[in-house]
Amino acid sequence: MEMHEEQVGGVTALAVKGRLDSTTAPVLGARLESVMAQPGGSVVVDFANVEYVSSAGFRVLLIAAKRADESASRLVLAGLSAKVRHLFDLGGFLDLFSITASREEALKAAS
Amino acid sequence: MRRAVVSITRAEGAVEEVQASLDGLAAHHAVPPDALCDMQIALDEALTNILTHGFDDGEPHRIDVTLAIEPTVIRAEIEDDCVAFDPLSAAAPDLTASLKERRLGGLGVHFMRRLMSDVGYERIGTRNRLVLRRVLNKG
Repeated sequence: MEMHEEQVGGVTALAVKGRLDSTTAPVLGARLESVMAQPGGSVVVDFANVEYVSSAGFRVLLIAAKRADESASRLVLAGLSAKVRHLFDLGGFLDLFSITASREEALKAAS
Repeated sequence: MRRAVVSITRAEGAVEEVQASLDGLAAHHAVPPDALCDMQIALDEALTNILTHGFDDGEPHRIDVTLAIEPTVIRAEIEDDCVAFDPLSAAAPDLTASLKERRLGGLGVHFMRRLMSDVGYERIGTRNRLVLRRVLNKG
């Protein structure tokens, strides 16, 4: 898994590439936690190049979504491939997260 | 080579080793990406469960993973000498809970069951044996 980070306006945009699983999810989890620890720290996670997400990946996303829900931060996910979207669906996550088709829409929704 | 065997005696790096072994086997036998993806997820879930719940008693343990590409299925057999654990007996997570009420447990087994064509568990003496099968081409 590779992660690329960029600041767009006041939003942190994370582009994840590869597999989000038990080995790699803690890296994303730590980053989400530290960004969202800042007041109003909002995040967009771009999934366009994510191959798959295992339960360990959903775990860190769910923790971040709960945190956003309880604070002024926003977490928006973008660019889910058909495969990744199917995994979100299997896990019952499509309605729990803010999800947009493109990174641009996600950045708008997060700011 | 249609089979690969990986033995695990410590948690560190174990999942990556099995993953790499499956990637190698899949590339060699042109396994469809969708089937590979589902098997990688199921293995991540199964091994994480064993390493988390079976390796935490301070005793030495061993997991033997056999990966096989058969004409129509990809199969993984996972045998360990840890405490008896039947993932198929685990309660299904409540997928309809709201964000506040949504719990983190049970999801791994749920994914394993939904992504595999079938999952079998047996306790043989002091060993757990889990067999994961995924058809190569879903109709």
